[in-house]
Amino acid sequence: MKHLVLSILVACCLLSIGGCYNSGMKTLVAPPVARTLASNDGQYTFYWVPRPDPIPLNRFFAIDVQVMDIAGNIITPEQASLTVDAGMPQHGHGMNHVPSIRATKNGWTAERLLMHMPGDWQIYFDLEIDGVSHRGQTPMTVD
Amino acid sequence: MMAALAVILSCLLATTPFTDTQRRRIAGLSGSLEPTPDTTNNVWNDPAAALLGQRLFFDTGFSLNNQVSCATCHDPAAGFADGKALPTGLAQGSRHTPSLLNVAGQRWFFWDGRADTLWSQALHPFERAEEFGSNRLAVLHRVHEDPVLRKEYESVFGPMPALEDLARFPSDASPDAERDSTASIAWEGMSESDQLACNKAFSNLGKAIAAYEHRLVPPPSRFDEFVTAMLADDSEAMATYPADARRGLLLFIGEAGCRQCHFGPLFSDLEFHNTGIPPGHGGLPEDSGRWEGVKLLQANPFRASGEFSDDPESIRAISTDSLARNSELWGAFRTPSLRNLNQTAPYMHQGQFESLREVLDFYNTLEEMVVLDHHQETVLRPLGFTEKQLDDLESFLMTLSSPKLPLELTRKPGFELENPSNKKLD
Repeated sequence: MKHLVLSILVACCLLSIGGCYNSGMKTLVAPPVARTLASNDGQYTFYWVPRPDPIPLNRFFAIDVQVMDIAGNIITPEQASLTVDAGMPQHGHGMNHVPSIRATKNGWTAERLLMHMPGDWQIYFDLEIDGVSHRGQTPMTVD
Repeated sequence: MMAALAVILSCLLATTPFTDTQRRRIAGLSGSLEPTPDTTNNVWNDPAAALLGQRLFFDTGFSLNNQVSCATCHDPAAGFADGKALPTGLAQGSRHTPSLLNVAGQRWFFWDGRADTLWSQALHPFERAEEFGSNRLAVLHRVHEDPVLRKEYESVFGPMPALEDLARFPSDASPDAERDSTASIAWEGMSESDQLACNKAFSNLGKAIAAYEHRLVPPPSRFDEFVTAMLADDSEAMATYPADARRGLLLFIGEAGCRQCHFGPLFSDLEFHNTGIPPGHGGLPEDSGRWEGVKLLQANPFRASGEFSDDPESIRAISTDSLARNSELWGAFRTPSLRNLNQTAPYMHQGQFESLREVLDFYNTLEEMVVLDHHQETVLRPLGFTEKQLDDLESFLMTLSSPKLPLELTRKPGFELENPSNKKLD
């Protein structure tokens, strides 16, 4: 329950920080729920919201990210660096663009992501903190 | 008995409703082909610029032998391609001529995407030895000395540089000429401001040609009419679409997997892939395709983010500046549009396949596929379709052909005045 509430709060926060895709809309019924993803070592949780959502085929999109450690502390860009990337493992290729990443108040925004083919992608989040890299990856089907 | 059954099954298939996924995928293959504005080119939609561009497009006077124009390889009678495996300008080129129909909808230009705007693409042939074999200053002098071209240029872009001053603007000069050649030395001798003025004027010629090429959008195809009917739930109109084409469409968006690269109204992801097509010259591939294309593009002063762009912060510019140069791009070529295939044989980047059936046979068997290592799509598997299924796919692809463009877009402006006896020539 704590995580659900947090993910909604984080999503609201991310959307307000990152320049919400629907910021001009006044008819937003409910804020989108941030997706959560644990790093492979279980030490961190990535809360992420794609803009637009769902991720479009063959068009640029962005991802707003916040990271929380296992104790529930928000990790800030002052404490760590983050990279976001995506690829199609079955095809043996990644994206044709290098995403940019910028720090926001309590997280990061990755921009210039583009999934140019329909099919099964993986999105990779790599958090580097104190010289150690922590990866989380999640499948994403675009059609 | 069997024949009757086949007819009944065919009729049933023709009226079987599409699933939601099929419907969505089919709808995504149609839609407007009208090009979106190119903000890097302020005159992309200017009729006067398009008229000048059309004049330049058909003008053989820019080539070294006065016999080659854009239309030599992009022949309107051949779907704005040339019908050859490899093109011939002043010499033979190394890649097949792509069609210019719907070209403004592309994201990258050339098979390797070394241009990111249509206007930038249009500049390349002027100075390439195997195409026009000219040079930047010779091209500008030709426009400057031709009263019609100069008047039209200046009405769109303002005054040309003072090209009558040959001490400042030599007859032959270019930054891209062979090192230590007369044209190269002459360019180095020009002032920076004069070089800049010439580059600006040169880029304007590309922008005018692009304005013309933006108009090469044929009317809707038989398939587009079918999609319109589907979206309107007009079953009567849908029933007029050939049954074999409908079966081929379902294979295309489903089992055949064509849609992995060929989607959207242009039937292309607009990006680059290596599908193991055997090189036209045999042996192993030597052409690095997009691998080199990215490098050439990012070094091109006429790119979307360059100083001659009218919007260096456009999405095109951002797209170019953020390009990755991944190893898998070695030997990858741009996904061609599948529209108007009836006019644009042979196929592939070196025209390796003479017919559409040869293309389908290749993907059906993957025989002679060139596998280097990890440098191509690893999901390709032989389709193993029957001849009938290949017939259906081919029938579907043929319904992507549009009626021809209006005659006035396919000729040098003023053609009728110069050739009154050919006025009705088609």
